[in-house]
Amino acid sequence: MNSPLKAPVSQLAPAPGTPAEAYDEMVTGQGLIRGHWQPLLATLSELGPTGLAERAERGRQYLEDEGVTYNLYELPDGAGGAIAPPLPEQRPWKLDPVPVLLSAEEWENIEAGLRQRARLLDAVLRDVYGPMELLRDHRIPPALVYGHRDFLRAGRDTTGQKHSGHMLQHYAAELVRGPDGIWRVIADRTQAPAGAGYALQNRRVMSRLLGQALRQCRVRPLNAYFEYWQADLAARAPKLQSGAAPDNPRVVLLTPGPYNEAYFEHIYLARELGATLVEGADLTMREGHIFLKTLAGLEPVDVIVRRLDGEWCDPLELRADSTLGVVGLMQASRNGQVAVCNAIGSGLAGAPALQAFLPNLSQHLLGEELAMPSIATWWCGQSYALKEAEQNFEKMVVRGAYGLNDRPVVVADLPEPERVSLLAQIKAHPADYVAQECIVPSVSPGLGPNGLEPQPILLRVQLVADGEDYVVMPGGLARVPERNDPFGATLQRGGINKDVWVVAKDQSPTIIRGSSTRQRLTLRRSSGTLQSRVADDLFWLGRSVERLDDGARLLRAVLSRLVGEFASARDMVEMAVLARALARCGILDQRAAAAPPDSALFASAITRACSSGQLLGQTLDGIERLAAVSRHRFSADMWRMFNHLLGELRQSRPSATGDADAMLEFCDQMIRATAAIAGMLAEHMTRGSGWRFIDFGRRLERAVFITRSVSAATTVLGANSDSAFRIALEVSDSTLTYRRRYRASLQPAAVFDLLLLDGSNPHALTFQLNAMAQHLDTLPNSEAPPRGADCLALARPFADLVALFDRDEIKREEMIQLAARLRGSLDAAGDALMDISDQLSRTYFSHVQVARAFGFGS
Amino acid sequence: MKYRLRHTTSYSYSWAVDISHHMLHLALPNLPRQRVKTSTVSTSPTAGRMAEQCDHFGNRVAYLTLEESHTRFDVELRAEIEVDAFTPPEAAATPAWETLRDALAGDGFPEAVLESEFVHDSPLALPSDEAIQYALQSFTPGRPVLDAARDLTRRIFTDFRYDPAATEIFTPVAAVMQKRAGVCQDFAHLQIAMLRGLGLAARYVSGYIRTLKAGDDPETGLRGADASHAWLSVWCGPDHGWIDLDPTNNLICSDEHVIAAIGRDYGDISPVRGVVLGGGPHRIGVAVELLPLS
Repeated sequence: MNSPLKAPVSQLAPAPGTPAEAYDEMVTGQGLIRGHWQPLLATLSELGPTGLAERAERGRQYLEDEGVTYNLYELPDGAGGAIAPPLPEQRPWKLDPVPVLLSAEEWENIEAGLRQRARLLDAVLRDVYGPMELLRDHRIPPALVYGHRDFLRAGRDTTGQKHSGHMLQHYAAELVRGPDGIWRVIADRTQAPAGAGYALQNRRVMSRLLGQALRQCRVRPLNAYFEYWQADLAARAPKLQSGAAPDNPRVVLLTPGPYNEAYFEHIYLARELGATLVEGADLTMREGHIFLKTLAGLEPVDVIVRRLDGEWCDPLELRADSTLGVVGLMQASRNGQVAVCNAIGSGLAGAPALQAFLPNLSQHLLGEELAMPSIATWWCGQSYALKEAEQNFEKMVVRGAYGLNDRPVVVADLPEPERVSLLAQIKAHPADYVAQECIVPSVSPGLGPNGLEPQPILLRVQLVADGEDYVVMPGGLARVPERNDPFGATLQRGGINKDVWVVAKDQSPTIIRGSSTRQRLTLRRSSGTLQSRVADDLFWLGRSVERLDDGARLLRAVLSRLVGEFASARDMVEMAVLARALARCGILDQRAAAAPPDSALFASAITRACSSGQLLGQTLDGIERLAAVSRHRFSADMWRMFNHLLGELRQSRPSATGDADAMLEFCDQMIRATAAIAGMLAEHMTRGSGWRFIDFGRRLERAVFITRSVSAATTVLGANSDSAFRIALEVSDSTLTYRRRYRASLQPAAVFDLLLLDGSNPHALTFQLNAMAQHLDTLPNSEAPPRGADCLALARPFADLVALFDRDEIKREEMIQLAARLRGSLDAAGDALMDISDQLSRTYFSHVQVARAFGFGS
Repeated sequence: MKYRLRHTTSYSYSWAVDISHHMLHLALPNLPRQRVKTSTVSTSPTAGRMAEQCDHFGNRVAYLTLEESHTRFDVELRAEIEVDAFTPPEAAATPAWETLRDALAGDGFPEAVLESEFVHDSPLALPSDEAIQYALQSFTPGRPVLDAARDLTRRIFTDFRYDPAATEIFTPVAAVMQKRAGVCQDFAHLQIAMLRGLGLAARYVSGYIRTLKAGDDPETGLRGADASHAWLSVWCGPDHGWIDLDPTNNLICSDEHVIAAIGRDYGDISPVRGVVLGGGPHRIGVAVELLPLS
């Protein structure tokens, strides 16, 4: 079934159907504006085309500032692994400034229909993962279960019991309204449906763009939905042994990580739901329970909001090649020690072929007519359906029977030969396909290149469990499908999004039930639960930002001497010293560093230092990645700033052509960006463990840098002492402080005192070591190595060494000897700092290691 | 026939494993022709927590976690079993294979619901066109299913070389077709994929085969006796049920085979599956002894 469905549908005629036959959301057949649209239309005409375009631009800006994106998703083989591939391309989220309006009456129908459908799909899941009566009684073709990749046998209760409680906690339906005005379901999303977070984000933007209209139209708010969701999650927490509900249960949101297309939404949802954002590696199963690995130890987890597809959830029982899951999660979930929402295996109920059997299942399981129809669906595994599909082939849309993100094929758009081969493919494996009617979607006004125009829309509606029933998010997400993707297969394919406004029935305020059921919280001063993995990322983020700053300073010092018309002999000496420092920091390779500073080799190596193969290029990439994965630790304002600064750096990163002036400008920009980031971290981050790890990383990296740059400068001490001092002060940003204290006279003891011992100079070694010691003494596990005292001890030899320089007259030979002693101590301190970094990793990040599976796959 | 079974698996790690989780498909099942007198699974280090459950296919599964640091993991099964001989039906009396194929499709709703599970592809037994073409030489139109399946078993035995060095563990069917060589697991997957490719139901069976007695000719003796063994079952219709075929030894299984677990392929019933934290490269040692009790 591979080729026709996965082949790019390249030469497509315009989308089937013409606006003439499509249902118009805004205008009646008589050309009248529908009542519920009128307040909005008044606002729109007041704004006029330019006003609307200006709002649209503002909306785009808000979304960009918020960093609302989705990722172009290509899962690397094995979905992870030790080496992280580059982050996927992030696409901006496109929001049309004109919403879709739905009246209270028609929304009531949608609501009732979808609540019933959610109950139905849940009942199907509970049967299939339990007694399987529906298969035995011939109500569901066994092929749709046994042949479905998302039928996860490990999730089946073999004692014949039905799962207690919903397996489908959260569900989304994709709707289309045909020319007859009736809404029908195109797709059921039962795995881990995306969209709720994006919908809320859309609404927040829209309330800024068209706040007045929002009030005038009496649009129902979305917030209550998330309160219901949160309350339902809390209610699912396993009971304590005493039978009581746990006080303040821990809820986590399990994400596949920043490579997933909807990672933005995972961060957003975790915040809305009060859940900790975790990846599989943050969790562990001990004694049958699931725990979160934090700096302070293991903390029990009660509820998991699952955003990871079922088959990746547990390498012990499901896909062994998954590095995204949690070993033992199936056991813990089976034994009721943790609630997983949606239950692992829920993806099964989203099979398009199942839609053909829902009317009958609804009668059987609920004793009710199916209230919300699906689009007409023929599962080709039955001969009558195959015949029907073949006879009306050119009117059909063909999809994989099991869904799974196959792109639907509009038969009418296929050239004859492809049509024939598709039909042959279907006849060879009929059970793998469904044929569905091709429906002309309704149109709603949207902002096109030439002002408002009718655009086809699909509706994605979200539901979440509420006790025995479900609640529907009032409104949500509408999407303008791409022309060659009639069913808007997935969010990741992009396209334009619209907010959906549901008009309130009467003036009465919306009753929010969620919060009243929650228990009073115990006050906490610290969240105390920083995941070890996150601490690891933050530590490296701190190191990387500082490394970028240090590298940029060294490069700038070289470039400022290189871009002049003529390099003096002094410049040449200083550039050679700087080259040595660059080599010791790994920014230049040894060969380029040893080349004469006026050689082409040297100049080209300097100007290419930020290209992708080089350390600084990698550091830039690393910062982007680490910032993205740590994003949930930052406030919206901080993230906006990060996003902005990193975006600028990305854009102005010089190409590898070797323009020294452009490179100099870029160095300035890097220094400004790192300063802004440092200021932001200092000013806006709570002084918790997260901040400590970032700051520890920065201090450690800077301390290492000081030992290396001063060590490089000492190599010309005696021969060109002034140059040595000038460079050491310059790259440590301490020139001004020195001048203010000592005027122009450069003396060794004064310079080394300022750079190594002065606890008030934020660029001095002692300053870094003091800060590091303080962090280590405050972190949990402060008795394990590295200890604060280890850091303080590193400064000790330098007091004596600097005192040796504090004399009136030092002979050249003696100076060279002293320089060598100082250099030895600096290098030893640099090595000791690396040991401290290793010890930190062992103490705090050791359980970040990746588990390996065997006995399967391999 | 009565047997005494001993099956040991040892993992030696290069350095310490901090924590490991295992899933064992070792405990032997009682079946119509197989009675388990005694069966014990023991591990070293001993597991802090061991839970047993029934899986989707009805096999007994044990889960255990080792939370103390270890560099070696041994697991041993000791059992005494009695197996009855099996007289296969007259091959010619079994239904034509196309009849079964159509019954298993059942126009979407087959009568044999449970059996129909084993018609569908599974990850380690994906049929290739070449494999199906190969099978069709045995599955001529109208041929009784057991007759054709037995013929296919014979041809695999003849055309494919038994060679433990020929394949890595978990060689895809297409690669086995190409190399014309493999071990019991490969041959079982191969014939399963072929049968399913034709629309028939086939299951993977893991278990043990009688160890050679002293003086047996190793050339003519049974293959796969020194490790856990694998073969397949083909569904021969409601009257005859599942019949086990061993392509590695070219026979219909009778009382020389002991069944451990049944699934779609090896992935469903791997005897010892595990996930470890730490450990580095590891070596596996397996020893099996299935000796008849006089």
